[in-house]
Amino acid sequence: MTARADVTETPETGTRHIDRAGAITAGAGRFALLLVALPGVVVVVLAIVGPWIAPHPLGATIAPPFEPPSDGHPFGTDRLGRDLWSQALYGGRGLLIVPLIATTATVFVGAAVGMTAGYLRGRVDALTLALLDLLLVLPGVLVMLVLASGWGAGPIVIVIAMVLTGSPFLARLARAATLEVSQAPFVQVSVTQGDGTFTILRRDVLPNVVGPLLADSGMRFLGALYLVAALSLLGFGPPTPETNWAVMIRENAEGAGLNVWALALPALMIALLSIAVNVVLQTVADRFAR
Amino acid sequence: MLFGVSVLLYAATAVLPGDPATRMLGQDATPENVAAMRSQLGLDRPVPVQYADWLGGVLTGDLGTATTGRPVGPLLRDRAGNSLILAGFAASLTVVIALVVGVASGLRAGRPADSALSVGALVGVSVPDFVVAGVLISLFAFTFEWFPPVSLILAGGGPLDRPSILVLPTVALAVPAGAWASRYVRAAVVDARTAPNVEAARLAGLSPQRVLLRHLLPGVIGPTAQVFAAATGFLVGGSVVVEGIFSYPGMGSLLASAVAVEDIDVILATGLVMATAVVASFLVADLAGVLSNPRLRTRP
Amino acid sequence: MNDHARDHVVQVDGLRVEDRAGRAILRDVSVSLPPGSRLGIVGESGAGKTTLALGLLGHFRPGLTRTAGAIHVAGHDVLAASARQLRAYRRSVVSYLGQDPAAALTPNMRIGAQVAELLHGDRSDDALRARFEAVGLPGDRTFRRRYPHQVSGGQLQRVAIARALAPDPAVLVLDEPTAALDLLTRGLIAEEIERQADLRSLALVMVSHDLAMVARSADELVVLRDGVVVEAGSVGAMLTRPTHAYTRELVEACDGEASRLANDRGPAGDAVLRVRGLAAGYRQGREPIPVVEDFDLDVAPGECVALIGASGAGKSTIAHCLLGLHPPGSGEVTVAGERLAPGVRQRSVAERRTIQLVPQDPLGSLNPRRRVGDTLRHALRTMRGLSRREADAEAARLLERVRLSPELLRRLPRELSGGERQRVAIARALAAEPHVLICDEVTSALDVSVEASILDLIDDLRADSGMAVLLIAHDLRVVRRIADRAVVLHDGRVREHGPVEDVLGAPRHELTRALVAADRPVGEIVRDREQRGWSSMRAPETAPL
Repeated sequence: MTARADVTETPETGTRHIDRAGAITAGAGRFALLLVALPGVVVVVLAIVGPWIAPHPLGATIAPPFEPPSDGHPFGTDRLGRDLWSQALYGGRGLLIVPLIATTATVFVGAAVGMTAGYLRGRVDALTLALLDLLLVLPGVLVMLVLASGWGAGPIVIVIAMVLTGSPFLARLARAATLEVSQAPFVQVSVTQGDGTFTILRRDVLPNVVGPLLADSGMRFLGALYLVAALSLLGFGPPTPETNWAVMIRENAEGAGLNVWALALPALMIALLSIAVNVVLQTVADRFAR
Repeated sequence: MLFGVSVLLYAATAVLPGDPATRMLGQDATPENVAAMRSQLGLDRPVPVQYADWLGGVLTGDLGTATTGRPVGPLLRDRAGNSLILAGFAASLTVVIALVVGVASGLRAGRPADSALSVGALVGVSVPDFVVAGVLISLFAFTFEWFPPVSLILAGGGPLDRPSILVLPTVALAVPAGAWASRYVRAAVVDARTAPNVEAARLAGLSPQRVLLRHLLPGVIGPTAQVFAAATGFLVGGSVVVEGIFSYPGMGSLLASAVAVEDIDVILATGLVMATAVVASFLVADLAGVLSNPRLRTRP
Repeated sequence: MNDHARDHVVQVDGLRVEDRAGRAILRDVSVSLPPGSRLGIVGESGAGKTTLALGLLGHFRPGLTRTAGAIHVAGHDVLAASARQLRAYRRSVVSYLGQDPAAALTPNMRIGAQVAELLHGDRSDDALRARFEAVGLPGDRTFRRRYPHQVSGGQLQRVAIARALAPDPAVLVLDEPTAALDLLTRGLIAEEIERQADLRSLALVMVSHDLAMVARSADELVVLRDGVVVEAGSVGAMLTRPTHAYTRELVEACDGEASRLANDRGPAGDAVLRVRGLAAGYRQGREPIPVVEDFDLDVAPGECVALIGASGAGKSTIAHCLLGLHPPGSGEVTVAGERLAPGVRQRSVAERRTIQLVPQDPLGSLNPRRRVGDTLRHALRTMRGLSRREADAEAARLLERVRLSPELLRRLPRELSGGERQRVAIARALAAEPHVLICDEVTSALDVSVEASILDLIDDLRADSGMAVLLIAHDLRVVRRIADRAVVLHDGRVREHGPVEDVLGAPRHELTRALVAADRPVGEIVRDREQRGWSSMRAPETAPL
């Protein structure tokens, strides 16, 4: 960690502009956010209950390929003549559940590492920062593929890859917020009144860094969703006939001229899901910001 | 930095289960044959020694041997070149998108134009590159037939011989990354807009162009450079997927196929090149940070 | 152009400014200033001072809109001007110096270029040199090619002044340009501004929360409160015969002598806090940098001792050493006969209870995410080992002791006013029942009327409980009000100490003299100006330094 001098950082703390909460919804306005998030919430619900309400069984061929929408199938059929709507209803859970678990794990690991480093400062902090910077330059897809080459593309590998490549962002964020909070006079009073490190982290620091962490966790969910989808797109997806929206995009892209929904429906589902998760997390995060 | 990355990558492949010797000889190989193969491949030595050997090779230009028996170096060279060209275009477009959207919405913070741009950026961030790719293909390749749906390169040629094949992958990669980075640019502009020096420049009656170019933007570039470097990280990861979608012969597809056959040397070499690209972009960001900040550029 | 616009250099008529929620920031504000005179606008935070000052330049901060009224400056109808006309007006008629002028300079531009870009016509080397030399700066090219971080703080303030004067304005609007500076620089910069105003016969509009600051040189005075003009008139009349109750309150709060709290208690018994041979510093690499050297202090029960000094004098380091937050290099701290361990982690609960801190910033002094009751109960349980139920009852009693309603236990700090927050911070310290209370600039962010009530509270608490108070201050008004003795620090050493009346009345050390000259009570200023006559058109004031 000597090759790179972090010259764009604030000299005494080592924090950078990128360590700010990734408030990707900033400036959009409350009403506009609600408008784009509402359909997304419907998509989340559909992803969960989809397999129970799908009109056709998973993978069942019912008509010629790439038929446009008609009475029986509202969005037409896909490459193998399967009902697109049913396939879409089956293909949500996999993209929702694993990324949610991965995001949760990432947030916990990142927050714990970042807060500890930020509060203890000194050598612990410097060492952690060096390690985080190493991980920060490794693209998530790369790490996941390396791990998948030995252990297969299971959910656990995805979670590990996500924690390794996603938590550095959160850890840096938590560290920056902790550095700031732990300078506050009320923390000095807590120290003089004898609170230990753990008590101070729990009582004084954590409630003040939760907001930025939640705001950023929306981006981490996107990252995790991306990893799951990337695996599917690169051919390491779930075994047939299981499907997910990313698999559907890959399979049906060529038929978009015949039935535009074959591509548009899964694409729309993924987009709406990501937007909804981000807006919801940001709204919760705003409640924690003053 | 790169040394650390190489240790990390090598360690990751070293702890993976699966034995190259067994793989090469097949499941039926006798233990004696496997042992002989292991010693021939040098796998019976301690991991740090193997690492040192590998690193020595890398430093002298020997990136190892693929399972097919061909050396990795030449295999990687063309692919890496193709990938770098694509990533370079995508990174440039990312910067342009992020600056235009970020500055435009930051300067209008709180007004309808900002709201529209911010919702647009939120949608842009939330739509992964492969979704953008799918939409672009169906629109511009199949419906309008402006650009080819796949980006094949003829033997002996390079991607620059037919620039039209680069358009769709570049856009697909740059839209989400640019939208993401634009959020940070916006935040920096919003801060700078109300900073005392910018307010003072405006109150002194300077023209809006002069306020923007001389007083506001120089203070924004340094801090956001890091964000662009991180966005490059996303691009490099995303290129693995997007290259696959467009059948573009870059490192991404090489890596994907290497993973399928557990070709460790190829995985290591591609990983190292990718990480190098990201490290390089962080270096450029640091440089931009220094050049845009007189505090770091000059002596006190 | 109407009539009075010609008579008056500044003329504001019935100005009303609202925020997005429709709340009025300024209500029916009318102000006028005859040519060749100086206007002082005084008010506490939230009074709308800055909004009015920026309005004179035709600027309203995002979210604010003017709904009624007009502003004329030197014959220009400011609020009717187009964007282009407004720029021309700002480039030629009026200049603005805001809080912390140095921050108004762009870090990425050379200081010479920042002055040159506002000059009209002649931008030659000689013209620029003259501008720099006029404000007491070196005019050579090498100096002008420096970036802001390459010149000293005091020089930076002068660059900002040169920049404001570059367009040769007729009116200079000053919005507390010296509030962020330490007392010494403050005096120098205020003087430079006045010198330039005299030299160029500038009309000045001075906005401040500090009456004393404005009282020195204004001709006309306007008192703002909650967006309304409470009282307006000539400065002499208003300072000597204020008609409105609020103005009277302001004048009294700023007048050191009148507000001196009764303080006839002598030190009662032996010192409760005893510091001997304290030395502390930090390391820069291998190099030890001393901050405080050879510091002795005795404080008796019920006594209030003020620690005075410019920023960087070592005041905070001493406080941190006493609290165990900063390990001293040598020396010993004794409270009530017990010698305290150097680090807070090595101190027992009983030792930690003896000495407590009330920190400076009213927002940073409480955890913004914990309710008042939670903060107090936690302190009571860790410090005094109370049970949950006992702590509940005791927390309510603590609030009553700092004269707050127990209903505030359920509030978050952001739901409290600045004064209330500081009272809660005091209650948190009192939870430990300390022998010594360290108050670190506790009122520096508060308005003068709130400041007075907090100081009264601290004074009563020490009288009731015999608690010793160590007051860290850079504001002499605070020291005059409650301190018994003063210790003057400079560069980490005690330069002077004794009863407050002696130290501030007949300062011996040059630093103390400078501090006293820079922070005179209003009463003194009034006497001074009565002797000279009230007109601002006079020979430059004799330098206080």
